[in-house]
Formats: sequence, structure tokens, C-alpha cells
Amino acid sequence: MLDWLTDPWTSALMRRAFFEAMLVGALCGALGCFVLVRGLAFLGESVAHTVVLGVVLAFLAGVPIAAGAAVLAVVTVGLTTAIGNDRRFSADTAMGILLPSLFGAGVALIALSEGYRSNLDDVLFGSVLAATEIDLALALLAGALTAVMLVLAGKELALVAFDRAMAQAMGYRTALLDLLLLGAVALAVVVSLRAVGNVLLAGLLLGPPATARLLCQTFWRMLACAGSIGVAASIAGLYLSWYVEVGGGAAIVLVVAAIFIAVAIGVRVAGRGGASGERRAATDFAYTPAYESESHYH
Amino acid sequence: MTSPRSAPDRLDEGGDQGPHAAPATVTADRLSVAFGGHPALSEVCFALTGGTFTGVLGPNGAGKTTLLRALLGLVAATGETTLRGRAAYVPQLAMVSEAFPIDALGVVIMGRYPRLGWRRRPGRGDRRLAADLLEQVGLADRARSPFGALSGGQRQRVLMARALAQEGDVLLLDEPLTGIDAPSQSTMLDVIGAQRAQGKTVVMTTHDLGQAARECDRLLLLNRTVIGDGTAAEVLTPEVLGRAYEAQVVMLDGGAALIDEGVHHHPSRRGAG
Amino acid sequence: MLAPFDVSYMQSALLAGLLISVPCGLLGVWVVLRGLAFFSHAVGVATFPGVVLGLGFPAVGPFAGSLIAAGAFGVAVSSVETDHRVRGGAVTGLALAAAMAIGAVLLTTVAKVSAPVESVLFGSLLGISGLDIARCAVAAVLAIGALALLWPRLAASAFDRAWAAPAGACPARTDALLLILLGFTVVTALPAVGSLLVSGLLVIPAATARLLCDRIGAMTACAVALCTAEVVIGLVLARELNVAPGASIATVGGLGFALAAAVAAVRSACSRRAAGA
Repeated sequence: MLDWLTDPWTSALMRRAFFEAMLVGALCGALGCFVLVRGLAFLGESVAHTVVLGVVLAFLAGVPIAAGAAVLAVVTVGLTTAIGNDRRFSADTAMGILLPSLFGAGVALIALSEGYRSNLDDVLFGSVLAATEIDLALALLAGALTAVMLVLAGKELALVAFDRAMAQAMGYRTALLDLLLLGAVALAVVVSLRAVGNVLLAGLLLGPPATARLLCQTFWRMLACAGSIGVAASIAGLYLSWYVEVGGGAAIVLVVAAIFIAVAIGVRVAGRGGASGERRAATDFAYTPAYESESHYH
Repeated sequence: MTSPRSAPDRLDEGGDQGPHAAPATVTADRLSVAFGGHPALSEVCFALTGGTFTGVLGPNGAGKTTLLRALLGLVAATGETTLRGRAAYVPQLAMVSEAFPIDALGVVIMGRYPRLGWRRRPGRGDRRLAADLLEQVGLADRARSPFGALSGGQRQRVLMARALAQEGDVLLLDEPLTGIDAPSQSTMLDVIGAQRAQGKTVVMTTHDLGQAARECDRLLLLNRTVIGDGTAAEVLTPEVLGRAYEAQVVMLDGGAALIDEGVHHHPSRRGAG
Repeated sequence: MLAPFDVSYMQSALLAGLLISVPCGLLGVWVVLRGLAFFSHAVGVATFPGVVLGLGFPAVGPFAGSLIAAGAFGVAVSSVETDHRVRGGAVTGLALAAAMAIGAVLLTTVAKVSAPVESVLFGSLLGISGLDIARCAVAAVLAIGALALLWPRLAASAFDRAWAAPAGACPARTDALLLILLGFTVVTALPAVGSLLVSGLLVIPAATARLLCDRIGAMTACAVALCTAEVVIGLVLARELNVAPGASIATVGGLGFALAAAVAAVRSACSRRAAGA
């Protein structure tokens, strides 16, 4: 009876895939909460695409692809800010310029470099089933670093995400914290390329947080919830891909989407039913401060 | 200091209560506006006549902008409003795009569209009118400057010229003098004065009590409902101001009022985010 | 016929490219001025599963498939974006990934198509039929007609929406028409540049034009000219280097923007120095 549950775990390949996907799911789910709260969905989508250029360039230069991807992530954010600062352009336009041109350049380079051309599918949709031990190690490292960052600077990062002006007024180095968060997100993107690929990455980065936001009232609970959804969706997705013959990354994202739709409908139905809907119907959900100084503000 | 008359329900406005009382051009009768259960305006009543300059005052969130929008029919409201003739609206400067590729003259020409209809192209007469209006606000030399390259005061003057191009009978101005340089304010007030002299009805929302007292014929003190309605002397008293601003008002020498606004209630933000 | 265009498929590609540059340049101006880049990208990506499905069921065909997908996506997104609880594009981002995932699944299951993923995502020089060219012509005519009729309303709404509404410009209806036109243009451009890079055709030439022009009339003409140039150069490169046309066109566009930005920076630095700092 339980065979269908345990079957996939008998394969070493699948075991690695499971661990890889779970790590990536947790990482993206948690960090995606910051992306969501700061309204950076398009930026996340942009970075997920533009890193392809970095990956190919690194491959051609014989440098670890993680480095290339990280550089492109930083370049994308930097250029987006630079263009967006011009009063004639919005951030939306900046990303509308950078996403197609950098991603297009990456795709063109892939076509030109014979060695990479065959991997286009993997680059775009991921190949979680081909996860190696190195990938796992990288994912573990990224997870550990992110966990440390959240423990040490989580409250500050959350504060900057919610009320940048207040954080600056309180003396926090917001630019530094921004850089820290950007680094973590870039790391998550790089590590997730293997599991879900570029075009599906936004699903894992935005889906679990969007779902968690519907369920949770405080930021930290949202973080934990999003991470859990990421893990659950990854496991479920891989089961799906084991039994139904669909790509791992695609299956995971579809599960994430299904969970979101189910929760969204459920919340709407529940809201219609009782008073709890009214309570949550206000503009934003509350951020419960973790330290006293916030109590002066509301 | 005379005691303030009870403010609302005065429908015989214009100060002229004789047999030749001017007809009302802008009226509101028990006007109420609510956004998602939260009341923004409540039973607002007043009547304005042509050739007057009315200042609408009140603390943040009092509903000043909402009042203008209700008069224009832009928000769902209960009660009645009437507006005789055409209205020209100058929204808050902050809402206007500074990224849009248009020059000052182009902005003013845009003001001709409500008169021409949105399908006809402005002709030479329209362009000349626009140029004249720019000169009236002192920006003839900046006609070809990109709107985004102008200073705050200059932009506000261009938007005023645009409103004039509409040839409206009622001028509704949302904080037109806030945060702009003194010379620009002076030019704006001159233009308003000229419009008033031509019999137009001018309504302006503002934060600046002193300026409103100096420049406006009549003040409407608002905090979701009409707290004060009349001349500066009638409205700007400690009792009336205290009711409007829900705060302590102290009169200083020379008639200046000091308002201690105390704890502020921001209407919608709760928690962070 | 000049060298790269001596083959019939290149002539088809050129004709389609010249025709599609018109609506892309004309509408791209409003994409840039109204902040619709994310929307354009989203519609493009959303067509992917529609195209795959259409390819798998020849009775439907990729064009109809992409139209239905774009329409469904537009309706879904607009109804979701009104819910304040899920903020700022996150749901759209998720929907995009889901659309890609559905397309990927369809590719391996229901619609085992012969056309490679690459051509659907990034366009193909060989895949442009006479019907596609006709559709590009239709898109061009629609864009010219709509803009001729709606120009003042579009400009007023984009510059100062708060003023435009009471002035009678009907911003809401104008917006709806703009979005529908955009969706249609995106769908007709797909055979040439593919789902993932179609937004580049709309955004980049117009953004470059914005760098060079300070008045909307000039910006529009410039956008169409730049789009045409980028498409032609991109098509030539696509053939010479054997890369997907969507990729080459988008890259050329990006380089064009960078070049214009450099020129504009130099120009303003010189004029600042001339004015005496």
C-alpha cells in the first residue's frame, strides 16, 4: 500500500533530487517573502532571466557558473536602479529593457557556443533529476548562509522591507542591508537554476510567499509558512514527475500554482462566511514588531 | 471676537441677502462620500456664487480633495451637488507625470480638448490662445521647455494656464499654492483674482490658514463635515478651529493661531507596510 | 535582392518585420509612458501554452491558441490585480511561471510537437507564413487607426489622469482599448520573435526614442524608425549567425539603447560644460 510513497526514494537519483528540491523550495519560499513585501516581483522575474547571460559567459570563460550568475544578478539590479533613477523612465521600463536584451544576448550566446546549445531545455526549465552532489552541497551552503543571515539580521531586513524611511531614521545602514538581501536572493537564484531553471524560477520565488500572505498575519509566520509550502510543493511535484512523466521543475511550479489557487478560493469562501473575513479585509496585514522601539509607531 | 455662527446649513450664501442675491453656481446638499465603509465626507452643505474665491481648509484626511472630486462627479456620493457651467480642475501637482515628453505649450494646448471635443485637432487659434495664456502666467519664454524640466512653481503655473484654456465657469484647484515659490504663488493669485473679477467661481483647497484668510472671500472649514463657513473673522476663531483640528488652539498677539495637533490619527495605515 | 534577403524565407521575414515594426513602435511609446512593460512581457509569456496547444491540434493552430491564451490571461490578471491583499505583481509572476510550466508539460505529453521549443520561445526565420504577414499588416492598420482616433485621450490620460477623467477623456475605456491592441500586437509578433522576447520589440525602441526626443510626436516617429532598424539588423544577424531572431533583435535593441544613452550622456555633459557648469 505504501509502496507508491516509498518507491521514488529507492532511486539514488531521486533522493538527491528530493533533497535538492526541498532545499531550493525552502530557500526560495523564505527569501521570496522579502521580494514580495518589497513589491519586487518583476525584478525577481527579470533577474531570473538575465542570469542566463552570466551562466553562459561563465561557462565560456571556464569560471564557475554560480559566479557568472551572481555577477549578472548584481548588474541587473544595478542597471535597473540606474535607469529607473532617470526621471524619464520607471523601474518597469528599466526591466522591460534589461530582461529581453540581456536574456536575449544569453540565448544568442547559447546558440553560438556549441557546447551549451544542447542544454537549452535544462537552462530554461531546470533538470532537478540530474542534480549532482555538488549541486546539493551548494544548496546546503546557500541554505546555511541564508539561515545565519536571517538569524543575525532578519529583524533589520524585515524592518527595511516594511518601512524603509523609519529604518533610515533609526540609523540602520539601509544600503548595506539592501545589498545583503540582494546577495541572498542572487544566491537563491543561482542555486535554484539547477532545480527549476530560469523561466520557472519566479514561480517558486513568488508563489509560496503569495500563498502564505493570504494565510498569515505576521511576517515571521509568513516566512515559515512560505518555506513550508515551498518544501511541500517540491516534494509533491517530484512525486508527480515520478509517476506522470513530466519535468520536475514544471511539476513543482504547477503544484505551487494549484496550492495558491486552492488557498485563494478557500480564503475568499471563508471570508464570505464569517467575521474573520472582515478583520483581514483591511489594506495590509500587521507586522508584529520584535523590539520595543517600534511601539512608538503604529 | 464675535461668537461664530453655527456653520452648516447656510444656503443663502454670497454675503448678499438682498433681493438681487446672486444665483448659486456650486452647491452641495447633504453630500456624503464613503470609501469602503470609511466615511470621507458627511452631510456637507454649502452654496457658492459666481465671482467668489472660496478657500477649503482642514487637517489631513478632512476630505478636501474628496470634496472637489465629488463636485466633479468622480466619486460615488449620496446627497446632491450642482455645478453650473463647465468646470476646470487643477489636480494636485504630485499626481502629474514628470516623465511625459511634452513641453509647456503642449500642456496648455491639451486644455483645449474639452472644448474642442477629443477628436478635433487644435488649430492655430488654439495655439495662439495657449501662448497668450502662458504669457499670462509669466512663462512665455518657457513655452518650449519640457514640462519635467520646469520647477514646481513653473509647473503649477502651466497647469493653471491649462485650466484657463478650458474656458470653464468654475475653477476647482487642489492645493495649487502648496510648496511652490513665492513669486509663482503671487502670479497664481493674480490669475485667480482676474478670474474672480470675470465672475468665475474659484474654489481652492489649502493648508495655509493665513494665506487663505488674506486672499479668499470666504472660507469653508472642513473635517469630514462643514465645521465653519463664512469670512475669515467668523471661521478662524479658537473654538471653530479647535473643533476642526481636534486640537488645542492658542491665539497669539496679532491674531495668529498656534495649533498643537497632538496625536494624529492616520486614517488607513495600520501596522507597517 | 540584397544578399541576406535573396531567399524567400528571408523576404517573408523582412516583410513581416517591417510591418510589425509599425504597431510595435506606435504602441511601444505607450508601453513605456504608462509602465506596461511587465504587462507586455506577461502577455507574451502567457501565449506559450496556447501556442503549444495550437501546434498540437492543427485544427486550432498556434495563432488561435495564442489569442485565446492571451485573452484568458488578460482577464484573469485584471481580476486578480484588483485584490489588494496579494500585492504588486506577485500573482502575475506566479501565473507566468505556471503558464510556462503548463506549456512545458504540454510539450512532453499532449502536444508532442515537431517544432522545437526554441522557435516558439525565441522566434524563427523559417516559421513565418503568408498568413502571419497578413496578420502583421492587420496589426499595423489597427494600430495606426486607433492611435489616430485616440491620440489626445491617450496623451491626456498618460500625462495627468486626474485631470483627464473630469475633462472627458474617458481614461478607463481608452486603457482597455490600448491593452487589447497590445495583446493583439504581441500575438502577431510571436512567429518572428517568440513568446519570451516579444516585449523587447515593444519596450526597447520606444525607450531609446525617449532618450533622444523630448516631445511625444518626435518620440513616436523615432520609435517606429528604431524598431524597423533593429528588426532588420536583427534578422540579418539571425541569418548570418544562425541564432533565433528574437534573441538577435532584442540584443541589437539593447545595444542601441546603450549607445543612445552614451550619446545622450555625452551631449548633456558637453552642454553643461558649455553653460558653465
